[in-house]
Amino acid sequence: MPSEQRYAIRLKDVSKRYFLNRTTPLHLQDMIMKPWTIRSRLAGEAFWALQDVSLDVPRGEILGVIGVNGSGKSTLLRTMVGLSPPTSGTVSIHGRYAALLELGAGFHPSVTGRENAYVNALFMGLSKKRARELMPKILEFSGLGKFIDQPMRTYSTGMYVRLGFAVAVHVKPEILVIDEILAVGDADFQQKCFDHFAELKQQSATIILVTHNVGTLREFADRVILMEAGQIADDGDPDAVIDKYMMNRLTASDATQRVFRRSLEAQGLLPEEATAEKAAPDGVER
Amino acid sequence: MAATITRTTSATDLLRSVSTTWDLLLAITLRDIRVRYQGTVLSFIWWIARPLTLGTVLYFALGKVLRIDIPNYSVFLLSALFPWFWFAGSIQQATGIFVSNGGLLKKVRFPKLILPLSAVLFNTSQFLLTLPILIGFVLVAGISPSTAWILGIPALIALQFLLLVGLGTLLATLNVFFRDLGPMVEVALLLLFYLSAIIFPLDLVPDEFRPVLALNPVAPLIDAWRNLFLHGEFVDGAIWPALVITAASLALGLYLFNKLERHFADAL
Repeated sequence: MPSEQRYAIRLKDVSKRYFLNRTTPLHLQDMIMKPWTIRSRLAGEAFWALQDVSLDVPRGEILGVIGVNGSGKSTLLRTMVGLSPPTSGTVSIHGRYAALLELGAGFHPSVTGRENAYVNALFMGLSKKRARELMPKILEFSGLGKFIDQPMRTYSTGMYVRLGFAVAVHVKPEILVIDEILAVGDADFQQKCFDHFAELKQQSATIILVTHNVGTLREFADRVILMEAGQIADDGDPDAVIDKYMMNRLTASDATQRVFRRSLEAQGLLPEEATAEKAAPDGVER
Repeated sequence: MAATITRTTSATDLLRSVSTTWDLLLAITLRDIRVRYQGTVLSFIWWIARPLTLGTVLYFALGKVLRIDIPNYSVFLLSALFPWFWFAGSIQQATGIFVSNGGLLKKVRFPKLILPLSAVLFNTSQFLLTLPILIGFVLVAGISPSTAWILGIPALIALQFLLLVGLGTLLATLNVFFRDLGPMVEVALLLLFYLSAIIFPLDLVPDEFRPVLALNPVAPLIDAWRNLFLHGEFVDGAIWPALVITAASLALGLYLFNKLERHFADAL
């Protein structure tokens, strides 16, 4: 459908359920020794990591995703790119994607950076021929110099990111998904990455970026969504969404502190000079 | 509750993905071979050390001490041990392959089937490289080469390769959801070693136990290898249990893999 092609990714009423305390890899010992627990072990406790998320990402958009830890950002990304199936709802993906969800996924520590970059490019769907052609560019972008022929177990975290990122941007993805890893690179490298984003964007690539560095998003994102408890809590202009998110967090923590102090004062437990933290253990116990 | 993932791919993309998948399979297999023997001076020696050592020990213990009465007992042992190590090594490596690559499967999207394939291919390449040693040994032992080898060797290689792909895919897939399979396979391989008539000929087995051994797909396969090298006999009808198990394991393995593949990321 041509109208569909305007979007790189569309999620419709997507929910993702995980089970807590569930032993999915079954163990024979438990099945024999405690057969009565099989049912409850298989059932577990349902936890909805995503709840009725609907999201359309147009082609060529740079979308930022923010939210506190555990709010469902990573689950959202994995569901978006089809790495894990939604429990309900539909996901449609149009285009080749490259995802950087974790540092060095697919890198082999005993192999040199050069060979890892090559294999990684193949993992992202390039042919042998194309990967060979791109190698000089990838190696140059990584800026690893002579370290490129050292085994990757000797690399620092920053070097891992550089190489991983160098491969990801050069495979010419139509959709590029990045989960909070750019923060590891130094300022120069980050700048290089963002310059490259701009270039990819001109080729109407879609970029989805999870980060806690809101400054980055203010500068580069076209749109930001805020995840909260598995739902999209806010969606829109980066500055507006980020301002609201920061304000809410500030006021929430202020309010909590104020209530806590007041209750301590009321019980007469707050000495004149003491901070709320110091007084806490005593105050809670009595 | 309906859950669907759709992705648009054009016909050229599909065609391209077959060849790129092959490129990737070869690249990771070559990488793993290099990693395994990196920094070892005698890499090639280590490939043949295991079957040769076990062969020597068994030859001494059974042939010289217990004086088992089998002509050409050294060839008898080695022509079974080389294919056995190929079999056991592949199964062991393939069973754990999805679990040990959990991080990759959760984070990168690629044709997952290449992982068990690569494990089998890795062990197959070792077998192929050591095959000349085995043939050399057979010739040195005074057995004249047979014309049956020309077709027999490729045929048995193809059959065992397909059996390993089927069993390997099946075990690797099940192991994601049932982790006891890893240690179970280790015990089963130990048992299978003795059930596969590697150290004694099938016809020495008392008649009442024969059907039990016949159910084991490895026994007729090992026997076929041995007949080929020892007697220059081409594969005969006795191979049928191996053919049946190969077809069944391929069908079941690929079926289960296709059905369960999408849940790997959540179970690992």
